[in-house]
Amino acid sequence: MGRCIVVTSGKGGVGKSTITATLGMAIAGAGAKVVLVDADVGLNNLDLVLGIEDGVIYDVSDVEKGRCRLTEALVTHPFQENLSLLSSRALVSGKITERGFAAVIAALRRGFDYILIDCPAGIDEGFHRAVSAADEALVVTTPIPASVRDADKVSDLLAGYRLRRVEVIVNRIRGDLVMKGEALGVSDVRNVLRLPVVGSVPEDDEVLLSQTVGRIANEDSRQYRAVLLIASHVMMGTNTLYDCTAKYRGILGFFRKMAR
Amino acid sequence: MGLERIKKVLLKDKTGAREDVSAVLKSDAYDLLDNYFEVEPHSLSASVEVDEFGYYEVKIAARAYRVRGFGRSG
Repeated sequence: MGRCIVVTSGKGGVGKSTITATLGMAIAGAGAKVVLVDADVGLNNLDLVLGIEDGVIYDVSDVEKGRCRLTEALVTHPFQENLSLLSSRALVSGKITERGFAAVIAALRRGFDYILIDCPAGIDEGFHRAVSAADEALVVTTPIPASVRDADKVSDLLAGYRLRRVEVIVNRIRGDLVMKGEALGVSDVRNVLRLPVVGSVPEDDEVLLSQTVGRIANEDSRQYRAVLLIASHVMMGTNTLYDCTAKYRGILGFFRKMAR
Repeated sequence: MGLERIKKVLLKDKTGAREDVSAVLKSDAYDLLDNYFEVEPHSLSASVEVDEFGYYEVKIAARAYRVRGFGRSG
């Protein structure tokens, strides 16, 4: 039976869908069968992040309502056969019940090792629907105070569910600003949220460049290397964080900091 | 500076939430304690405070007339 992990944040725009897609790609690259479920009904973007928007015909609501079989709604990634997507098309999905969504997830557990749910932003019905079907949660935040505050609120809500693990990923870290003491670092976020931080991902222009041309990630990028460490934590329980400040240390780092 | 600011904000958020929690807690605590003691209803107090690190400090106090008997028959 597959493990179901919800990727949530509270605040929008923190890179939740990007983390979900990249993490899925990293886990699938390690040989596990992964399905990404876009639970952001009406504002779905996971298909676009994965670069397979043209392949989506049916979605999660079609499966729930019995309009198609689960296998018909799944889109396999053209370059990574271990990675599939169950989408929720904008403005077409209609009302999906918590029970129906849970049934779809239960069916996916039989065919996949990992189910990653891309949770909608906010703490409304969609959030609860996504979380109630999961075993574990990854809370994505950025070092921006508004994002950390929302992550804290989400963490309080997650405490009301029987989740095996609630862990944090700090995304879009500006190593140069952390080094200058002008932005929150990983230890600051850990200190404030009092939850284990299992991922630190640097701000990286490669994310924008990759998504513009429909690629999940550039495998040589700092962002992808950071996500590989998160994948290793998810699959094997390792606890190594990517050092987002390393680039800005030493003589070369000094000039890089100055250049930004 | 940023760290202190966010800590302050979260503390304020948590302090605001504690009023709702203590009302529900008081009612639940009474139901629980009533299984073991004959609790004087008006004596029960439940307070939730937030310390400087953001941890909740929960205090429940009650006065009871007597301990309920256990394991006796008849």
